[in-house]
Amino acid sequence: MPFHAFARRIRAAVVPCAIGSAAVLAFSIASSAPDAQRSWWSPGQGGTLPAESAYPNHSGRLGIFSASGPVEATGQPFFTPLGKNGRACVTCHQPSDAFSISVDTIRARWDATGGGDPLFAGVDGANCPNLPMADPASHSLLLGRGLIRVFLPWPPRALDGSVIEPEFTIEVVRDPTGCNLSPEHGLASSHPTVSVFRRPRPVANLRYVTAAEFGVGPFNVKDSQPAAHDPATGKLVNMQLMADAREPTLATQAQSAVATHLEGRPLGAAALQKLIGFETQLFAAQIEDARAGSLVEPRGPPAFGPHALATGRTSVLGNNTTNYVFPIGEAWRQLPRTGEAAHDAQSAAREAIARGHDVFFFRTFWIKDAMHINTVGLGNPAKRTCATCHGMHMTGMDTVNGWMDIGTTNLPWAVEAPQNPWTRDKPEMPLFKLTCDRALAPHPFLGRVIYTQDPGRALITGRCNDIGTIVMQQFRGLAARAPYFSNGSARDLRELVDFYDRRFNIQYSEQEKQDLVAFLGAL
Amino acid sequence: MTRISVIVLCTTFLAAPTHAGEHRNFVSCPLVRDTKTVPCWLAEHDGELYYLGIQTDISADFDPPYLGHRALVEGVVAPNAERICGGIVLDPVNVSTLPELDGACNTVLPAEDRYQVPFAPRPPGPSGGRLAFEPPPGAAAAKPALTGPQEFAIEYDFDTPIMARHADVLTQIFGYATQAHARHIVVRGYRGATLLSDGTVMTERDTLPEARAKEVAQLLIGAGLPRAEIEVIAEYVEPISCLVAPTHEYANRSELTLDEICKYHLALPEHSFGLRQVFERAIAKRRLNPQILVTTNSLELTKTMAATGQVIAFMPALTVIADLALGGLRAVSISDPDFAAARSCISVHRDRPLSHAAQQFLKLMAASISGLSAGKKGATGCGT
Repeated sequence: MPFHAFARRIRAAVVPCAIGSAAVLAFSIASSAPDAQRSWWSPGQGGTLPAESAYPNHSGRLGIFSASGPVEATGQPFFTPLGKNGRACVTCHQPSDAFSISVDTIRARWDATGGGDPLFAGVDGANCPNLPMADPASHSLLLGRGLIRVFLPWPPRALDGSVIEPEFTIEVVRDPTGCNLSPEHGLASSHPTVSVFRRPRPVANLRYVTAAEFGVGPFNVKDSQPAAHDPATGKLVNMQLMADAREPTLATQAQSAVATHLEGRPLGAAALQKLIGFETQLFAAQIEDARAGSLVEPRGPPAFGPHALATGRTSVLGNNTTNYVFPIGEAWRQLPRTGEAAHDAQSAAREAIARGHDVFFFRTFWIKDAMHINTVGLGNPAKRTCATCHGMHMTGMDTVNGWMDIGTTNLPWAVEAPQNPWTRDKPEMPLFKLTCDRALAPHPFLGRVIYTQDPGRALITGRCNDIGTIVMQQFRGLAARAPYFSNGSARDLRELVDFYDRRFNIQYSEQEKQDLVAFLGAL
Repeated sequence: MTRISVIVLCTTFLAAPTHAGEHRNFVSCPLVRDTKTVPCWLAEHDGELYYLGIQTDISADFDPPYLGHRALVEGVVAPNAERICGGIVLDPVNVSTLPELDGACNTVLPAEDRYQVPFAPRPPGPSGGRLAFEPPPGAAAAKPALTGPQEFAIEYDFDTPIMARHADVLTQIFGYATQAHARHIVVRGYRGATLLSDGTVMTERDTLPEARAKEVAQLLIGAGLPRAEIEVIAEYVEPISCLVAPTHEYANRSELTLDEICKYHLALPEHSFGLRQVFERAIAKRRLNPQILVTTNSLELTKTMAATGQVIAFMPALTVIADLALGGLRAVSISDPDFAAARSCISVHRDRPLSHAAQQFLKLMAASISGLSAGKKGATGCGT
């Protein structure tokens, strides 16, 4: 069933649902979509990923489009356990969650399996491998924030294995997980390692994530450092993969993930090609909003839904009124009211999405002290909009190497539990103190001593200016994969908007915040 | 075989003497003034407000400063220009964000109706159809021919390493080296100094020439150029200042022409000195007749005669920093690009390995020039 037709049926069901009288009808129609009720894909379980499928979430429904048609899970490496811990790629990249994984899904999986699912494997599904695996407290960052442990060598290694001399020293200030101070797994171990905790990223819409036709040259335009190459072809890559861009291609990322997360052996060439072929034809986006109805009906906003992503242009700068980041057209502005409550509520919700787009695209604020944005020639501060940084057409990623520091992991902006005599809240995240070499220029906004929950890209480059910089993510399928930011510090889209409002003193009105949340949830 | 020379230097030093007009060189906190469109960048000096530029995008020439840092402003007052955003227009202007943080620089002025940008800027949000990164017309035609030695200059802000805006020139160098199959790439690093309007000389850190040259070499290697083809050389370029007594009629000038200088008695070193040779070439070119009162190699005698108003003298600014700081001498820029700089260079032929003794001597020489102690890490002036 094409999405448009499917969405029309969903809309017919959901509008009454919104007024509380047709929950059964909505359920029956959703179940008619192929595999829509299969909320969890286990490794090696078999089955077919349909060409089109839909998954419910808090905001509506997510659509998955497998552009090459239905995919048999059996024999596809993505769905196949490839290592000793029984995981497959799909373990942390579930179709229902836009091929990421939400914390709700993680908790449901814990409840369903008593923590026995391979998702909770000690290697990185626990706060540290040396903790008791049956205790949910040992998995608190995964269960609480959806975070996977990422363990990286210190000092950093270049792709050829050579040691990079870092511009800073690193100390562990706080280690709630125990892993960074562990004699076996920490910085003082025989293989000095830094453990940071990050959200799995969506394995969908990768055609955009890997496109390298815009602004990619031998030197990154943000910092003039050499760009990475595809080791197989020698071609330049755009360095948009993963939170720290440590892997240049989907192939190297896959091999790295198999070796670490799956504890497996390297994939053979044929399996690798099959895996990447599958990943790059997946498209994910919200197709239905609980209040606004279908997002993909004819003459609706052209940016919405996975089909739009499948046919959209890659490597296009959208921070202009020629292309737009998310072209939504005029269809949902000033919709007529009929006096019929459900219809008018839907119209109001659609108008809110359109207004939210305008907040994203046109609402200016002062972007200040943000590394790799204020330093690229805009000055500090720069009066700009969300779309300045989130400028890639159709995804809202950066168009070029997209690591920036907006304070999601660096203090003073990173979300921290307040410390006072009356609180019972304990810090969840590790905290590092990084001291930059006094012989070098200081970090332009944070100086030479920087506290961070995750040094981000700096764990790869060793550069002071990269401390806390994180590659920005795509905006699609957001409703399916809370929480947000690389450290899961925003539990929902409202907290995400509130973070920006606080960080940049935007002074959004309540209406603007609600509209922006509505827009982001529709992507 | 193609040879490429990469000159790694500071823009501050180059910009000042090449433009006629009233110079304003100063260090102060930058200010942001909001407007109905894009913000303006301003800076205050001696009770006057100067306009530096507006926020544009990353494809623009003007690279605005940072709040949280002081800025070195080097500009020329634009004749007959209306004030913009309340500030006297400096054009051309070079603005360097000084590396150390300064929390006092944190002023954002609100928009006022009386301050409008008098031209249509790129909007503060999405551009209206014009796309950033579009190559300027004729850019392709400006590519150098792929034959013979080629020289590229990488221009820095004061006291800074490689920044985002250098990606373009690095890409040009890399592209040329790759296409021309360059066999030998020389990267020369420099530091600069600038003479402020109040007579103060600001000099970049003495470690910068080597650090800059090494950084550029590492970047080119990191991008894929073979390591063996790149030679790193650190050089030290200092501006020559015209030194006068604090009571001299030129003491408050921001710059002088050679014609003006030649109206007074001069003290110069002997003909074997490069500085004397450069001076004589410059005056011959202009058919001037200088009044040389004394020829001496004594720095002390020269400084004493200048300080007492008997002569005008020329020296690299670094040699008289203490005298300038104490107020015994005033330094004035010379508005003649042929006579603006002295260059000290230590070069090593890459195909001739040095003996241990020679290497030690080289280190000593480099340390002497850079002012570093001999035992300090990275003191050598020459790389591979």
